Amino acid sequence: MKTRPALLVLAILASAASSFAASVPDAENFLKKSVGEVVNIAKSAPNSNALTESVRPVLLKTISFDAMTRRAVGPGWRQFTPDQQREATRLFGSLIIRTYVAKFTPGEWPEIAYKAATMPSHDRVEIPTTTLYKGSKYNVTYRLEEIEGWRITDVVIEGVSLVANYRTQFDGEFKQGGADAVLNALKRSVSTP
Amino acid sequence: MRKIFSILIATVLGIATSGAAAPDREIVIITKDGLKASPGKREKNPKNSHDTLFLRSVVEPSAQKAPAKPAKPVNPAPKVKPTPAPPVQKPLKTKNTAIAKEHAITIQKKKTASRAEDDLDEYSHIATIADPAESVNRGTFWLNHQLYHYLLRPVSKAYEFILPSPARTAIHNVFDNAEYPVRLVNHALQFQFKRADLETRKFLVNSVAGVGGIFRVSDRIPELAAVPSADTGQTFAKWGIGHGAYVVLPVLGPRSVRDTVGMAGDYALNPLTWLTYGGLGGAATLAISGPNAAQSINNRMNLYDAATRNVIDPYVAVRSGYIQYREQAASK
Repeated sequence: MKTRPALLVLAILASAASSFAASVPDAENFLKKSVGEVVNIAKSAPNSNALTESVRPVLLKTISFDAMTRRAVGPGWRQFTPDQQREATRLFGSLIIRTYVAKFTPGEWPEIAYKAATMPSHDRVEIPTTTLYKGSKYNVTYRLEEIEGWRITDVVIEGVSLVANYRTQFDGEFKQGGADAVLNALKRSVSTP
Repeated sequence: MRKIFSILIATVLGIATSGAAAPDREIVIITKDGLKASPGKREKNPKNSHDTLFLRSVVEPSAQKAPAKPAKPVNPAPKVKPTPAPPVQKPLKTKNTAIAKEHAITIQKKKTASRAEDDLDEYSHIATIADPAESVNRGTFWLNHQLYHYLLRPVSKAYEFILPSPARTAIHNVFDNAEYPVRLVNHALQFQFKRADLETRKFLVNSVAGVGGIFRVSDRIPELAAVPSADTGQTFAKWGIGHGAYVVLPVLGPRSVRDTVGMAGDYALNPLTWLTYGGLGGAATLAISGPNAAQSINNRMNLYDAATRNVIDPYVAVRSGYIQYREQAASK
C-alpha cells in the first residue's frame, strides 16, 4: 500500500517537471512572436495615432488586462460591482495601451535580447530581456501567466513594476472614496491627452 | 586595490610596448559582433573598418587565469524544487500512473482557483518609503513640474533638434566614461573587487579604443557589456543604512535622505567636478560641462515624461518608481 502514494507523488513531480519543460519555450515563443508583431508595426507606422490603432488588437490578445486591473486595485476589488469591474478594466486597458505606445517613436524600434527565463510557479514565467532603444539600454522583464493561453500580466522596467506602480496610486484613491474614486480617477486620466 | 593598480600599470605599459614587442596571440580584434582572435600575420585593417585591435589581457580577464568556462546554455535546465506533496485525498484505488496524473491536474486546477481569489494582494510587498513631509514635497514637486515644463523641456527639445541622435549618444558616452572614478571607488567600498577590475578594463578599452569614450567599444565584449553601475547611495545601502525619509529636492527631483547624502559623495568623486576646483575659468568649465548638463536634462525629461504621463497621481507614481528603482539598484 505504501508504494501507491509514493507513485502518486512521483507522478505529480513528473508532471510538474514536464509542464516546466513545455511551458517555458511556449511562453518565450509567445512573447517573441507578440513583440515581433509590435516591432514590425512600429517600423511601418507613419505616426503615433496610426501606431496606437494598429498595436491595439495585438496588445488585446497579448496582455491580460483583467489580471492587471484586479491586482493594480488590490483587495478593494471585491467591493467593486461587476459593472464597475468591467468599466475599470476597460479604462485601465486604454491607459496601459497608451503608456505602451508612448514609449515608441514611429520609425524607431528597439533591439531586444532575450535572457534565460525563470518559472516562479507552474503557470508563471518571467522572461528578462535587455532592450536597446534610442542608444540606451534597459533591463525589461516580462511576467507571463497561463490564462486562456499565455498572457503578459506585468512589465518590470529597471526594477519598476508597472502594476505595482499603479497599485500605490490606486490605494490612495480607494482609501479616500472607494470604487467610485478609483473610477473617477481613471476617467480623469484617460480623458487627459 | 593593489591588484587594480597593478593591472592599470601593466596595461598602460602593455599598450606602450604592444606595437613592437607583443606577440600576435596577445592581441584580439574587437569586431562589431564581439571578440575575434588575431590572425597570425599582422594585417592592416581595411579602410572604414570598425574593428579595433586590443590587448587580450584587458578585454578577457579570464584569459589570464583559468580557461574560460563553457558557455551557459540559453535556457538552463530548470531546477524543479521537490515541493512537499499537497494534502491529497487518498485515492481509493490508483491502478496506474495515468489516473495519478489526472489527479495531479485536478490538484493544479484547484490551486489556481484558490490563488485567483487571493492574488488581489499580489503587490502588497512593494517597496515603500516614509514620506512625513508629503505636503512640502508635493509643493516642491509642483514647482519642479512648472520648471521642467516651461524651462527645461524647451532646452531639451532644442538640444534634440540641434544634435542628431548619434552625437547625443557620443556626448552621453564621454561623460559616462569620465565618471569612472565614481563607480571604481564605490565598487571598492562595496568590496566588489571583481567589478572594480572589470570597470577599470572597461574604462581603458573605451578611453583607448573608443577614442576618449566616444564609442562604447566595451559593449562588444561580453564580460564588459553589463558591469552593474555603482554610486555612493548604493554603497550606503549595502552598508545597511536605510533610506530615511523621502525628499523632493528643488530642480533635482526625488531622493531619499540616504541618496541625497550619497549624491554629495558622487559629486566629490566626479572628475568633472574637480575641473571647477582645478583653476579652470568659468567659461571653460561651462564649455566642458554644458553639453553634459543638456544631455542630462534631455535624459531627465524623457524619464520624467515616461513616469508622469498616463498616471493617476504623478507625485505617487514618481515616488513609487523612484523607490522601486533604487531598491533594485541596491540589490545588484
